[in-house]
Amino acid sequence: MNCQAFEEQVTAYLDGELRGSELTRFEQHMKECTLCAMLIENIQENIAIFQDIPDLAPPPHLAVKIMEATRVSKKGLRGNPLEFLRLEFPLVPRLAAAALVLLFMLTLGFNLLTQYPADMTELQQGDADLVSLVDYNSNRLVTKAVQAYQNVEESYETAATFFTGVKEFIESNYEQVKSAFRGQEKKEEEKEPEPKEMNQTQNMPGHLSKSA
Amino acid sequence: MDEISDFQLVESCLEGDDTAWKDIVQRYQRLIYNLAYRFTGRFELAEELSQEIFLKIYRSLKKYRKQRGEFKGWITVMARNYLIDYIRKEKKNWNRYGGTDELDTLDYKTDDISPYGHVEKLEKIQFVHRCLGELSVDLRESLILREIEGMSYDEIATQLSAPLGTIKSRINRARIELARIVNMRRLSGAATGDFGRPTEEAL
Ligand SMILES: [Zn+2]
Repeated sequence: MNCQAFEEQVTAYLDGELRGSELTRFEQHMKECTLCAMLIENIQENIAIFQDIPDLAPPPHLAVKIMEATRVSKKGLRGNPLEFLRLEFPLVPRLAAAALVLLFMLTLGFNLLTQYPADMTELQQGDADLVSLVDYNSNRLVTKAVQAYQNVEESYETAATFFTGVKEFIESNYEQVKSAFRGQEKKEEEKEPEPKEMNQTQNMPGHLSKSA
Repeated sequence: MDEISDFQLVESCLEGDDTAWKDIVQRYQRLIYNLAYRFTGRFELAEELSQEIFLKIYRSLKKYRKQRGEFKGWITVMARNYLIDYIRKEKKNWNRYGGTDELDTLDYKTDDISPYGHVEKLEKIQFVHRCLGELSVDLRESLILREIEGMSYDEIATQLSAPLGTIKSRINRARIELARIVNMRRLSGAATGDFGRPTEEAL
């Protein structure tokens, strides 16, 4: 037996289908040929690895994401996605957020265009492949759209937390900042305390980057 | 306590009861998630695909009402078809996901395995899965169904609409090619580079 003939019988051997002289010749080659012996060993290792895949607990947020995906697919967006544009944020992030929303709307729009009525499946029994293709793509798009929406939400939340942080910082340090500026401009009081090294580290929204 | 039957849940769901759908999701998310993980060897991707599969299930509930039968079996078949479709269509993106950071997302535990053996085991699986990604689609899908899903040759032939002989020889070739790729990657050191993490880091 040569190596090629050996290879052709690998699965039959592993499945216990080789008998009599076939089995003898196969095992004889395995004894004589290190490479083929190693091949069998490696294949058995791989089989063992695959059979040993543990049963995983799904990530805790999975159910929520699934619910979200179905809800969006069913009703469109919950609430008004443009609502946050009315909030008092500086112009640049507002525009960026608007662009994200627009992008999302386009994705969703595209998805809606590629959707088909549920009854179509029954009409096109013969064209099952086409239907399955359309179905598959529309599925992917809805989920992508949901993910895009989730991303928009996330960046919105990050931005909101950040600007709230900035606002709080400015408010809490307003008097100090104001007097510091006044002190600089008028150069009146040289005793003006160097104000806020400590406050800064505590109040600046810099920690956000860690949690974001 | 009597458990509400799957069929009752589906009925309520079709009547617009969101809680019923939530119950279905709770009941079967583990099944679907694990199926997706076994097909892909990727946590994030398995999560994404689970969402897509449930969406598909949701949209197909009406069909289930007509044919009835065992709900679990019905969604398993649907999920498996979806995953095979995925493998066939997303071939180019196969290696887009995962990589060295993937195991970082594993902050939840399985029921029956110690975290130690667990991480090591998952690293091995992910490594071999990566190598599996280098096989042609024909070989890969047959091998996944045989080795990972434990289907019989007959079942695989039916699932993939191919003759039994073709399936058998594909699986044979797939096993040999996979063994070679795994060896090659191991020898080139990719097992501790691109494909996994050094053990002390993993612990
Ligand atoms: Zn040989």
